[in-house]
Amino acid sequence: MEVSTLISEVERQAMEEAEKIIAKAREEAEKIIEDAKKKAEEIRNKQKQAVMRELEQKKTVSLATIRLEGKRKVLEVKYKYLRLALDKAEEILKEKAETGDEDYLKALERLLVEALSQVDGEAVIFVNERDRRRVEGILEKLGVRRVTLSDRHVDITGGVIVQSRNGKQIFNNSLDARLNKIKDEIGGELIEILFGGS
Amino acid sequence: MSLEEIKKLIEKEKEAEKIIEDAKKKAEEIMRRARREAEKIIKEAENEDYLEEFKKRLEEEIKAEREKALKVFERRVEELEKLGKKNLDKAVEALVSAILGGGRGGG
Repeated sequence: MEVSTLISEVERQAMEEAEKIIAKAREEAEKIIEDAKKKAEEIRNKQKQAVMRELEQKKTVSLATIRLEGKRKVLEVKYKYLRLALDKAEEILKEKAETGDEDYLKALERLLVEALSQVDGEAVIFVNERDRRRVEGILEKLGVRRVTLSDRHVDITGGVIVQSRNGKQIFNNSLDARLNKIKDEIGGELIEILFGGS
Repeated sequence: MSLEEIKKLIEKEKEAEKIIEDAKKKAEEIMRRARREAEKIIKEAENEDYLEEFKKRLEEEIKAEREKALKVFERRVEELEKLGKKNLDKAVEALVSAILGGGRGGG
């Protein structure tokens, strides 16, 4: 081999080796950057997920609070009108009882008969002062015996309270007691009347 | 091979070594730059500034849903108020009639 050829060969090999070294470095560098990009993407995803989890919890709590608050307001409105209906009914009953309205007088008779039927043996009837004469009239009309109309007047809007002579049985059929009982019994019906299916 | 030729060959070999040495230095520089770039990329990802915008957007979505839910209840309360006013007399009548009408005795 001639020297010039040898020299050229040395140069060619050196260039080839140098190119290989640089190409390998470029390839590795690309991989390093590629890996870093992947890692960065993972980091971002993790951070976003953490934020989303945190905000999702916040949202759940926030909406649950609103729902509770909303339901409370809905119940408040329902209760308000239920209370208004009861108060207004009480006023009307009072007025009917005071004026001796025909409906009331019929009811008084029914309340008395019903109360007497619930007490065994001799009974004592308690009424308010206003209804005393009315009840006397009813007793006379019905020919009821073995009852005593107490001289002691009770503080009730209307209706009667009947007690057995021995005091063991008592049946409170006053308007006040009925109103109290009825509000529990027909609360659902009243809500239905007031608000329909709402 | 003459002495002159041997000298030339040795010279070339030295040049060749230098070329490879330079290539190695260049390769090291390429790798250094890549590592710096990779570090920068990861640091940028770790920096949570960009999250603020993301968080803000999600919070606005939550706020909108909150307001929507509030409006639903507000409408419901208004509707109940109207119904309550409208049907109050009917309810009172039902109560009075239940009490005076009998069938739901005291005790």
